[in-house]
Amino acid sequence: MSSFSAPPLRRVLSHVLLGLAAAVLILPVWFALVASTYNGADFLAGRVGLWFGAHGADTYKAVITGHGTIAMALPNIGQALITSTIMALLITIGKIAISLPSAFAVTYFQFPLRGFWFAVIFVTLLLPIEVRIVPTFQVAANFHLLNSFTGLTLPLIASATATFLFRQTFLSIPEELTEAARLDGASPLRFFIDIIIPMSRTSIAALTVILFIYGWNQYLWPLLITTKTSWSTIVMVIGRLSQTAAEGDPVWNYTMATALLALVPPVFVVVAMQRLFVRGLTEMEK
Amino acid sequence: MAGIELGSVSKVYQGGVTALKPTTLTIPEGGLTVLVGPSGCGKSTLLRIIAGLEEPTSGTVTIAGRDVTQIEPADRDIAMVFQNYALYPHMSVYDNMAYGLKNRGTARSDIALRVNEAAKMLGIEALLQRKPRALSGGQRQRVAMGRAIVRRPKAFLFDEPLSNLDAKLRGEMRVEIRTLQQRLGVTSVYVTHDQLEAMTMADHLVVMRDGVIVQQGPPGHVYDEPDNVFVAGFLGAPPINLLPGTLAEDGTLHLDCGPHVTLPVHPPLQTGSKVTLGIRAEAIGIAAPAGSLTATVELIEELGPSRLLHLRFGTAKIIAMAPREPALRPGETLAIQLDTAALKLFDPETGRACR
Repeated sequence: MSSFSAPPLRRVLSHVLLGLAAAVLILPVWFALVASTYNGADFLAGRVGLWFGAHGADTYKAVITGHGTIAMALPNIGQALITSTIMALLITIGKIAISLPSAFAVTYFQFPLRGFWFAVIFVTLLLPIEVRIVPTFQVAANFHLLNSFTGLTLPLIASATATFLFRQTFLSIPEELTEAARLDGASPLRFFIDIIIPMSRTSIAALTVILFIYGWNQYLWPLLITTKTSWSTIVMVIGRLSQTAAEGDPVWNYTMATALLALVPPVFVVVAMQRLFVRGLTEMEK
Repeated sequence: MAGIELGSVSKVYQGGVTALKPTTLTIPEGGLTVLVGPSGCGKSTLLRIIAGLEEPTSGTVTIAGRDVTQIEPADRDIAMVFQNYALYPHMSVYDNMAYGLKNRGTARSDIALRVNEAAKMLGIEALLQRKPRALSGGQRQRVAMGRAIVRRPKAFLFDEPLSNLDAKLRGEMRVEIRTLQQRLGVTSVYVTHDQLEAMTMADHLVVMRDGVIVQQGPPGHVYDEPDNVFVAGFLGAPPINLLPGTLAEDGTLHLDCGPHVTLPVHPPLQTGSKVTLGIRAEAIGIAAPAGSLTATVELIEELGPSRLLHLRFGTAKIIAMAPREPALRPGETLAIQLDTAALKLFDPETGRACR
């Protein structure tokens, strides 16, 4: 901000602090980037340092094409990235599509046992997938949902986080606006589409980021629900590679390269949404 | 009469709080009726009941001869201007004004016609494509009015529409709303807590307190002939001077603060009755020749055309509105004269006017 006017010393100090914090945050990414430019022999000989090695091009070529110097076959990274992207998108869209109307219902409508139903929705916060994994798997298996996007996403879509956040957003919309819409003859559905959703853009953008990353990072559930490697998500691929590395085959370069590639879609989503998010914030008014 | 009729309307909230006691009120057609009173007096509740945003606990609402008690707000043929304007922040000015018509299925060309007409009337044609956030307070206020006008309703309802504006703009908008209302001739109900707004704008003034209408009538009449101490004190700035006293045998009033005041006629009260004398600041004159009443100047507030004198009158303090001449200094003692025709007597027990 241009109007920032702290004393010079304090300004320098705070910038040094900010720089240090940023360095600490960037360090793991830096290590991954550096490690991905060495080859297996370098790892065994302990030649990996803090600066780039000589085999960066080889590593990325191998990871992308799937032909590398590795005992096992390199997994198909492109396919895994696509699977992960579709899964994360379905989870994001599904959660938002369900949460918006349910938050609308619990915020704007009086119906019997409203408090009770809100509590029921809320309780699902206490039951993340890890807690209910065995029965959920059983249900999914009985419905023949193994190796399908339905199976990958449906059990993760059902949760209250987004409902709760949207309810908070809706509560912050001034009541006069609701009344104005009532006087303007807007039916509840029209009100929802014309007023509520556009006014919740900021929250939707923020939740898209959060939910996409949540979906992207899923590991345990995809590991259970998929039985074929063609259904592997990128996180599962990283998991498998690091397991291989831990068992003695020094494929750290591949692991790190894959991990870096796996960063690209979420970063893209964050950057894309950030602009909307910030614009939404600056457009806000009381 | 095709204004708005309220038939013993009341509102009791859940938990037993009574916002409005059974109230019967006729709002004259084509005029601007102002509901005024301190916060919590039920004026907003009354307006919201007319709008249909609040369901009355009992009673009926009739707008232009039609019983609308059970009818949805959108179908009551009314338009409302809210305190915070309640413009849709994501819609352009045009869309804000058109939204109600769109929902009613008005033809697109007709909407354009009406919105442009209203925009012209309000001088906001250049702003139609802007978003509300890009508008000043006064412009937003105009858009909110435009949204009401395009509907061509049977009644306008205003809920403290000027309270978010600064004093200068408030004065301007007051005149503008009044002019517009007179031009359109639409029955209007205007809620405010500002007595100046109420006095200046009303055709018909309704003063409320504690969920009850305490007095109604033309503003000048209510100001001149307050039915009780509350109305007398609520209307007018500076507030009316209230001085307690006792009625003496010879018809004079012995004020508790010391001085004796001669009353023009003997009030219909027994000698020895306790009364409260109400006298407005402008009814206190500075008598050039020494009168029987004197007061000491404590403070002078210059208003420009006139000034307010804070006087010590016996042991009480009163405020007089005086011309700028003659020059006066704090500490000076002067003779004052009370306009006997403007003296009001109130029963200190009930607060009612003694007439």
